[in-house]
Amino acid sequence: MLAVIIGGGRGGSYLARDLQSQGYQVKVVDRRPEVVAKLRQEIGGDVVCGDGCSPEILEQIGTAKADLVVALTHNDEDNLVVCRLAKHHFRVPRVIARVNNPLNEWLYTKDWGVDVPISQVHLTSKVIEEEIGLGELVTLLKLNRGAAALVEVRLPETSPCRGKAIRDLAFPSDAVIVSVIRGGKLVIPRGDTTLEAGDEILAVSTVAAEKSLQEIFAGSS
Amino acid sequence: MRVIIVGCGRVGSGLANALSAERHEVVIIDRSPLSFGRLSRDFSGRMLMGVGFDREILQKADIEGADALAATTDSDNVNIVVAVTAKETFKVPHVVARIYDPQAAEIYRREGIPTVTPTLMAANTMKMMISHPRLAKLATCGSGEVEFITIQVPKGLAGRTVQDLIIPGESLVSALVRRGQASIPSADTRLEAEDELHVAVAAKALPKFDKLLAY
Repeated sequence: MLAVIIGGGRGGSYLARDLQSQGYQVKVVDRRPEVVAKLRQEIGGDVVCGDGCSPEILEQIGTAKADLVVALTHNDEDNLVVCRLAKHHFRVPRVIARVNNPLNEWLYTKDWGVDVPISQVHLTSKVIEEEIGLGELVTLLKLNRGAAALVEVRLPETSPCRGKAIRDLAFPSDAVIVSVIRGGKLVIPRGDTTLEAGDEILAVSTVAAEKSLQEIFAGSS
Repeated sequence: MRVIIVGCGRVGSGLANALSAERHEVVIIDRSPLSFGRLSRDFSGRMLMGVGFDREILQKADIEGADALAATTDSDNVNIVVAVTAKETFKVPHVVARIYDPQAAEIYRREGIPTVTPTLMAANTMKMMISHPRLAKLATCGSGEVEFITIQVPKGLAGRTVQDLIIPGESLVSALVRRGQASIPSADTRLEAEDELHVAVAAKALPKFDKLLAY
């Protein structure tokens, strides 16, 4: 398995070692001699000093045989050119690229040869949004590639479902309560289980149903 | 024509001035506002500061209604991204990009993006001027496999026919200019001294063609 990484900064160096430990043969290209020298010490052999956007260099390092190309430079135009060459010219099966400026994310598409775009800013803001977005509802675990999640909520004193049996809640069909923790003890929920303030409720829910869960447990915000 | 030019360097500003002088509607985009100082006083187009592949900037430049786009920044990669985006995303009918790297230029040419490769053009022209001073180049075709040249018929060839300058598969005489009048010659057209001929010649056959003129 051969992986080609264009851009040998901190991200590239870390990824190179990670892929090496997974059994990949890794080649890294960077045009900065000082970065190349440092990288050679860190990961050993296959570090090439040159322009990773040049078809000639990509050909020399055997990109046509690569299973994976990752474009990690700090310029979006460079990453896009690498991806397009990798996919359309060298027919690399898997091409991944870093989005530097979120404004340029719209260009990172299959047309440009990008299978997976990674946007640091986008990821960060998404995580923050998930953490703070829905008040008391906290995501514990993503399921099915993020389409659903295991979520947790602690019933507030003001919860509209205090004293109600689970079977009487207008629960959405694409969510289910999987456990209730009351006073440190696990209660397996049944239809006749009555909810109390302070209950920690675990539920599996699709992303679409999270909003109605929030309303049922904590009231509309 | 409505033309968008990305990059206001020497080439971009020159192109913008020339098109504007011919009353085309020009929008020129550059990262640096200082570069607009290269535009002539008579430039009547619009100037936009920003990155040439920024969607907002391209929309401000009315790319959807543009007839043509030229990518002339000093970065091959910026020019590639701009040109491909204009052609594929916004369906601009005529797109051209300046690409310094001859190998990359060939790849994009095959993908349908016309490219201008100044490095290759300069090298080919200089090579022609040095090794075949009698042959004046009009144009380079493809990646330099065929040169389109013009020659003055030397006295030694007067009275001979166009046939004598045709090498099958390697050279073809396409136009003859005699006393200011151009025509398409046939193989048996007789040459006169001072005739001007326009000839397509395979680059590898240039030395052979040059020898034909030495009579």
